[in-house]
Amino acid sequence: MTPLTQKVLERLAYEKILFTSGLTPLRNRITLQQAIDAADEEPRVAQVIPALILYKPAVFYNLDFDLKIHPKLKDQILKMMKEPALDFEILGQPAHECRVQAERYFKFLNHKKKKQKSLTRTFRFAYRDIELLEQLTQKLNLSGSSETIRKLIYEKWEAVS
Amino acid sequence: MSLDLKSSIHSVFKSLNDYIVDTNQQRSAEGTILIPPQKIQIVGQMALLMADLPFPITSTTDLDMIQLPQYEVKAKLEDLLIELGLHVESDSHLIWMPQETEYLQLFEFSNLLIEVAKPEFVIASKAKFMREKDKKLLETYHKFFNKKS
Repeated sequence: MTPLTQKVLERLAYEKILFTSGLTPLRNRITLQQAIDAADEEPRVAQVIPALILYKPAVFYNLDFDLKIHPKLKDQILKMMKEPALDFEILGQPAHECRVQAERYFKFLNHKKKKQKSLTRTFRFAYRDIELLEQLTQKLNLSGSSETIRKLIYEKWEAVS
Repeated sequence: MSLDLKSSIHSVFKSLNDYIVDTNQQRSAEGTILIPPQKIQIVGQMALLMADLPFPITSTTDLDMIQLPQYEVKAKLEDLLIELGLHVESDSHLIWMPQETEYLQLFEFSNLLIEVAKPEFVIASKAKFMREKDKKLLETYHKFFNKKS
C-alpha cells in the first residue's frame, strides 16, 4: 500500500465510511484528487467518494479546486441521487453501489446528529421557581439548570411509567 | 482488523445478547413466545476484515450475513451497529457462498452465536463473480498464498 493510499484510508476510517485492517483512523488532511488516486489501488474508495462529496464535503481539502479538474463528477453524483435508472458508472464504480453507500452514510450522519443534538427552548418561571432550581442544582452538585431539569424529567418519567 | 473495531463489534453483539435475554425474561413473565437462540454467520468483506489476514483488507460499512436473524433481532442489531457506522446488508438472499463453506466461531454468548466464514471460502465466492472492485484483492490473496505454499 502506498503512503498516499494509507493516508486516505486512515481518514476514511476516521469518518467511519470505510474500514481497513491494520490502520488507525486518523484525521489526515486529504484532497479529492488524492482519494481518486487511492481508488486506483483500492477501488472501494471510489465507491464512497460520492457519499462524502454529498454529505461531508469538508473531508476534502480545497474540494472546489479538484472538482474543476473533474467537471463531470458533480453532475454524475446529482444524477445518481435523482434518477431511478442507474446504469452508469462513477469513477469506475456502478452508480447504484455508490448510491447505497451515500444513503447509508446519510443515515449514519443523521443518527449521529440526532444523538448529539439538543434544542433550545424558552420557558417562563417565577422568581421562586428559579431560586429553587438554582438551589437544587447546587444541592445535587449538577453542572447547571439544564442538567437539573433533565434529571427531574427522567426521574418523574420513570415514576409515572 | 483494528482491535478497536473488533472490540466494538464484540460490544454490539454482547448488547444484542443482553437485549434477547431481557426480552425473554419479560416474555417469560407474560407467558408469550421466547426468542430462540440466534446464530449469525458473517460473510463478505467484513468476514475477511475479521480474519486477521497478513495484508490490509478494506471494507465498506456493510455487514453481510448468510441468513438474517429474526426481524426484531435484526432491527435491534441495526440500531446497535449504526453507532459504529455499520449496516446490516439486507440483500442476504443475493449472497452466494460455496456449499462447503466452513465457519469459525467469533463470539459466543448465552443466546447468540457469531460465526465468521473462513477467508478461503469468502475468496472463492468473490472469485466466482470477479467484480472489478475485488480483482486487486484476489490478486493480492493469490500472490501472498502462492508465495507461502
